[in-house]
Amino acid sequence: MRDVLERKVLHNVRKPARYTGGELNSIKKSWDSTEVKVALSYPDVYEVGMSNLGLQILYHIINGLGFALAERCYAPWGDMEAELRKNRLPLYGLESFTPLSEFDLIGFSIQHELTYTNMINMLDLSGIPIRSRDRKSIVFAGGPCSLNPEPVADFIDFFLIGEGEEAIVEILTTFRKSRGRDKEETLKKLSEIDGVWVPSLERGGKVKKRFVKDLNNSPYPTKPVVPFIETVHDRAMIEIMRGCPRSCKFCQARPFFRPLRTRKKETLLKQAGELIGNTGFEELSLVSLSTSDYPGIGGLARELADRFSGKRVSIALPSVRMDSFSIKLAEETARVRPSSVTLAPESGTQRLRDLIGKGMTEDDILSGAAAAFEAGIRKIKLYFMIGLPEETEEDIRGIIDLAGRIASLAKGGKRARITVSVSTFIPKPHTPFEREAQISIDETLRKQKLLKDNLRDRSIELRWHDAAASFIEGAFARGDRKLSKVIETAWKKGARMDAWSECFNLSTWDEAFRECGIDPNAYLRKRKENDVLPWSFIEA
Amino acid sequence: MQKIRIKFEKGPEVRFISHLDMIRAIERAVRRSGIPIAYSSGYNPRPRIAWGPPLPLGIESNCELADLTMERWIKPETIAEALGSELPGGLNLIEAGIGNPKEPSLDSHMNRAEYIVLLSSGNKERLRERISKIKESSEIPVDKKGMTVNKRSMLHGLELTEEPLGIRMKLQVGGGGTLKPKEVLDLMEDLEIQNIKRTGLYFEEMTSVA
Repeated sequence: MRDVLERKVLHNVRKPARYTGGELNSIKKSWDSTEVKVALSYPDVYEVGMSNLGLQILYHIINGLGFALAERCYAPWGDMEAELRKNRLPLYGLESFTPLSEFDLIGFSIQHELTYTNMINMLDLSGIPIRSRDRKSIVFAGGPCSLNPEPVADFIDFFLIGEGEEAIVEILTTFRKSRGRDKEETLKKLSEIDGVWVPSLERGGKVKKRFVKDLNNSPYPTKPVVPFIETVHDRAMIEIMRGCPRSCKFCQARPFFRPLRTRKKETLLKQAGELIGNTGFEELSLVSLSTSDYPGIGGLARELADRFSGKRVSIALPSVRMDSFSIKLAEETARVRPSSVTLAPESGTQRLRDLIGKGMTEDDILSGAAAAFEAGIRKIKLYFMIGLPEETEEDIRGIIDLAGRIASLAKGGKRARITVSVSTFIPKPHTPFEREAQISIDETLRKQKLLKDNLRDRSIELRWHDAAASFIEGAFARGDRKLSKVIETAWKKGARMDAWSECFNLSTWDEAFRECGIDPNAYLRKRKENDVLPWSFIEA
Repeated sequence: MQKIRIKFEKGPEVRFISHLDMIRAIERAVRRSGIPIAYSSGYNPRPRIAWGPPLPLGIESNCELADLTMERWIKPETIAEALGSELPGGLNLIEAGIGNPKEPSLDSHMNRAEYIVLLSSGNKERLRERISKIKESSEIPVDKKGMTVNKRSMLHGLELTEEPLGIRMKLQVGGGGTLKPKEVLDLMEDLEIQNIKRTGLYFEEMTSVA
């Protein structure tokens, strides 16, 4: 397998190192003497998948078990897919180059809806039937999309809803014990594990999301795989906190990572030391949903910076609130002065910010921006949403007004550079806004135009998410079982890598919906109080 | 400041790692090893390492070179031991020695590379014919951004090896221009290439063409 790849395939694809494994700290266990083999798959390219912390955690837990091994697999880019199909080669695990079909369990981490076609494409490239009922092997999935697994329920044998640190061990132990039984029996046994849902079995009450109670004693990979090629998050990461103390009503990360848990400073210092020693990364990132809310963040960041200054390791503080405290802290701890700061007012007016639960006043925003300019940072990135509930034209114009007020704070003749990124609000399951309406493509385009027409200030640059991609994402976010047919049809018509603007093609999806006789707009509608939601059987 | 020259192997398992990615991997190995490397000054300090001429993607090597500038004097054997054990699989340290601080940078100094192309099968006579045809020709046309460049003067050796069957070539590298093995091999149709390995990297006074 490897020989054919090296002679015939890898010379013809871009970034061949995506497909060759062998990275520092990757773990290759003996195939023949290990009982349970798991392929941990991510339905997007290597650079994106390798940046996912959850998969790194599971990889190390599974490989730490005596009876099990885990290998990694990512979605091949189009050039590699074509080469694999041309040479009739299956998709394989990066550690041993064993075809995916030979693994006992194939797991997918599904982070968002636009990776669904990649997921079934990866099964197909492995010669595995895409629908559960047509195959003997077991495919499972987890990740934020499991909060509404219905649209992909026909492709997946079981879902793990919630966090996997503890559940994965229970799953593999149960699987090992039921060796030799038929698939249905094995799935029945697995369904008895908390947080596991088997779509082919009768539903017996609600499925409760799994979460780890004690983050301090929960395993953390301090010897992570260090990629050769540059990935999206090419740095060491310590997870300082899981969950979010804020309560923004649109955010799905909050219900998925609930409840709020923090790691102790001593645990983090120890993990950071091991991480830097084991990886040689030049940057250490403090990961959480809201880093400023970590108690004692200043002390932690300063201590880390002191400890690693000799090794020229820079400390990165993503997801911090933009205020003078954070900016000063970033200046002290980062080796390189931050070139830009990011702020997410989400909405242009205070009325709407209050309504969506964004606990941020105009004063917070302006003083944060002023502090950034004061520190010599001229680039500010602002995140907004359009299509929020009860939004009016005034709120839309408010986005430009607010960006303008921020730009005018730049002093000393130096012009600010403000980037305004506007996404379309997508109501997500298990959020307070799960029953709200999503605006149509036309409405999105109209609102985007309104923004553009109101823009005068040349220091402000406008960017937005593709209206059509948000539309498809929204349909699947609150979709039901019927949509599996649409996913399959679109995939057969060539839909792949839908999260990539150069690959996304609305007409493929339009055709697929039409052929299946389903109106995607229906999934964008406002749900009534008594409508039964497809995801209501999950307790987040 | 002391200069240490290391020689290392880029094995088959990492031959699809690009030059820039390999640099990052070795920089991280240096950081893990704790050897007293000097850092560049400025906003974004980088370990002071000078690299030899880049190896094209997909090619192995047993003669890659790099010059490490150390913060203080240290025995090359100590570096060989500390760094050798930290390199990722496939990158293997062959030796470390004291470098000549007066010598110009590796990239501009080294101007010749030798490659051996292993073939899985092929007719010796026909291969010999093709090789002499290339050597007799006054042109090696290479397409460069839509323009054809003649790189014949960068070919300094081309011969058949019999046991095992292959082609040995000596090509120009470095600042003065680079002729890649593939650009020569493209002139010979349907070769069954097993692998390509760089086996030598050195400086040669300007001589006449082969």
